[in-house]
Amino acid sequence: MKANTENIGPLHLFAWIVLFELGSAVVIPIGLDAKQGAWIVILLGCGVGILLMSAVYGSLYRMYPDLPLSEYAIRIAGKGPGWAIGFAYLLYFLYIAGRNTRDFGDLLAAASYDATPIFAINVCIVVAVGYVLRLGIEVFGRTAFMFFVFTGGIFMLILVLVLFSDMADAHRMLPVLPDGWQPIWKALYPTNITFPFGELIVMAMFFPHLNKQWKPVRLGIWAMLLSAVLLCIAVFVNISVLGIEIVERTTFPLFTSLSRLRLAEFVQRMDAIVLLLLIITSFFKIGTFMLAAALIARDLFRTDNYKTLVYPVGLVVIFSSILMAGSLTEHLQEGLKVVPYYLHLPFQFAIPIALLLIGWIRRRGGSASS
Amino acid sequence: MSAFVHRIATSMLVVLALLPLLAVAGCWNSREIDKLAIVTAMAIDRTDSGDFELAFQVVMPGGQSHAGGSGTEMPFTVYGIKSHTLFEGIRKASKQVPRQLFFSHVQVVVLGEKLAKAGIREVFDFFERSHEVRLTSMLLVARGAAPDKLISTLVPLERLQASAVLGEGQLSSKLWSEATVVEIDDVVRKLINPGVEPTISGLKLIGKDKAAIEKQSLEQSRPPYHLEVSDIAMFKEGKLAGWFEGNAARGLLFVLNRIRSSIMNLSCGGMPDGVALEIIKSKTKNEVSIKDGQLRVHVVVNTEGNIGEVKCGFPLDNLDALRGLEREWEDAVKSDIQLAVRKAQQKSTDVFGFGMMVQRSQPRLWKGMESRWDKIFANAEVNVTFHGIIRRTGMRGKSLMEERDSKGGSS
Repeated sequence: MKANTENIGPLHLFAWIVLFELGSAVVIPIGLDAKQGAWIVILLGCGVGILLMSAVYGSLYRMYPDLPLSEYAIRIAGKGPGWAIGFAYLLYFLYIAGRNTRDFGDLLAAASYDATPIFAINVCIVVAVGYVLRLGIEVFGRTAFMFFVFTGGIFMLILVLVLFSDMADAHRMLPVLPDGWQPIWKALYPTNITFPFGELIVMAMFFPHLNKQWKPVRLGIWAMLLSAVLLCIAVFVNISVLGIEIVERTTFPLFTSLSRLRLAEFVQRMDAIVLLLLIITSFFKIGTFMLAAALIARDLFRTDNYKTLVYPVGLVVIFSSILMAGSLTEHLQEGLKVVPYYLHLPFQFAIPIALLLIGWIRRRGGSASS
Repeated sequence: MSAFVHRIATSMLVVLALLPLLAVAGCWNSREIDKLAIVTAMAIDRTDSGDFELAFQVVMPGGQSHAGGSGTEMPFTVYGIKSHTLFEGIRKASKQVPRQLFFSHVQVVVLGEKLAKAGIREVFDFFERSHEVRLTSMLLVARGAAPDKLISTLVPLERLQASAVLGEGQLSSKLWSEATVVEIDDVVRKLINPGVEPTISGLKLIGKDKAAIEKQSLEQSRPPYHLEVSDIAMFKEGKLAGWFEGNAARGLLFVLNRIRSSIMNLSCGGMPDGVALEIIKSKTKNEVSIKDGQLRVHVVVNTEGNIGEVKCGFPLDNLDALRGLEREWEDAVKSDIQLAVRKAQQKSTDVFGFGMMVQRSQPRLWKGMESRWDKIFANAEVNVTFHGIIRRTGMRGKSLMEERDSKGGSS
């Protein structure tokens, strides 16, 4: 497969990964089961993610630097099983794209579009994503970089607001471990070792597109560190502004915090910038999964152009986002009780590790026999 | 030629596709401002049967234009309704209100004393859950009068009662420090955390309360009533447990580090309350420690003040005399604080948040004490250390009284 004529630069990939990681994670409660220890959960989750990235996804990439996940699955596991694995990943990525779209729609509806059907919201975002995806991987990467700069500005603004407003009280971060280490492990497994850092398995579809003189795994690790820091900042902002008593019950913590903050009586109601953050990061998260799904579909079904596949992928994402759950509670319940165990753990851990082991054994066997 | 036709057709299609945008632009549930009734204050009380009794202060659309002057229109109007839940009441009010009630600009929420005694917890869920209400509204407890009466009161100087009350609350917490501006989320945090109990300032109507809703009252230069933000209500497990008044309220705010400025009267040559001292800066740090199950609190107050007035010939240029005054100041602040502490300990309700401090510094220890915290708090030993400096004495050195006194002495 020599179709990798589309190349993305290192900064683009870096920005892309950061925005992808922040998608949903920056606005929904993450690690808050551990109360004030949420930032520890995020850092540990990032640690596990980095380990996974360098040891598993990275090793697979080094084995097949020119192939995406779906292709090396066929090389490693053989034609039939490899195709089945690729197809499973196709479904997985479609479903997760749908889940993120649903998150997006529900959060926007809860926060400000209370009478708008989420179908309308979801169509809007998926159409916007589809438009950019149709222009190709390169454009998506460049767009990511542009919005990365913008997101950085938003974070700076939030930090300024928090530091100069008297609403925030850093003492609320104490005690660091109110109930010991137990809740940390509970929050970590299986929810936060898989979300958001384990989801980077999707990047295995794009690594071959990076300009060859750069190392995608190293870039990915730096991007993960930066996004972990940004997520921790969000946690600090939430807890110091609202207090753990309020944060642990919010559905949309950063939005609530920013609606509280005010500076000198006239800079207030800055919650709209959180909506902006939600829209930007969700855009890249949904886009990444849709693009990955389109790429897998191209490889599996042997069409030439993934760009036309964006239409069916978009339709599937829109409709699955609506049909996957009746209520928000059902959606969140599935996200906590079903998805991590039956989807994230197998697709982020079990299958890649199995592929890596088989690949190693084959290579060694191959080199021994030859 | 065909290329030309093609181009025309394409551009026609584009225009056709863009046309619906004109119709669908805007919000799904857009509400125009002239269809809204903007609520500025809300009163919540409880009926004897346990229902809510709600009242909404709604801005009159034309009533704001002629600022200050007594126009022909009332500046606001108040709707009242009874309901089982807050949300029900708000929607049920549409039977009386010709426009949709809009809650994003609620400045003041007044809770009735009856409700406060029965428990305020259940009120806040709606405020948190709704995305329209802000958590930054100021919270007050009606003292004496019914809360709907208080928000119906016409006030001079401000057109809206809500702005007047908000202004009074903010100013008196800034200049006088016997009341504090408490916002909804602050109370929510304290209701949940077992190591601290909420305190909310009171709102009183003083004078002829019958006249308070009549427009003629405002046509007098001295309305026969006034609204006052004063006293601080303390709660225990969400229920009103008592009030801090006067010096006790100031003592409470000293411990809570909420003193910004205040006037304290000290004695002057045998005359009680002969010197007015203005507190210009104050910072309090509390240190908690637990020894053998006994809570010890060390309250450290660091404050600065200026002399604002003397009513006798006090030698302000004499450093020793000033030191004496500082010592007296120390005693006054300490007695204020002890008064507040005793009041809170009597009801064993930890309004100071000492429990929260233990929880933050020694979480393990806290776990064991949480369930009997009210007893531990009631038996706590509170010590106060006071560092006060009188910085300046204003635009005059010696008092005019001192001049005369010394002349009288020489003759």
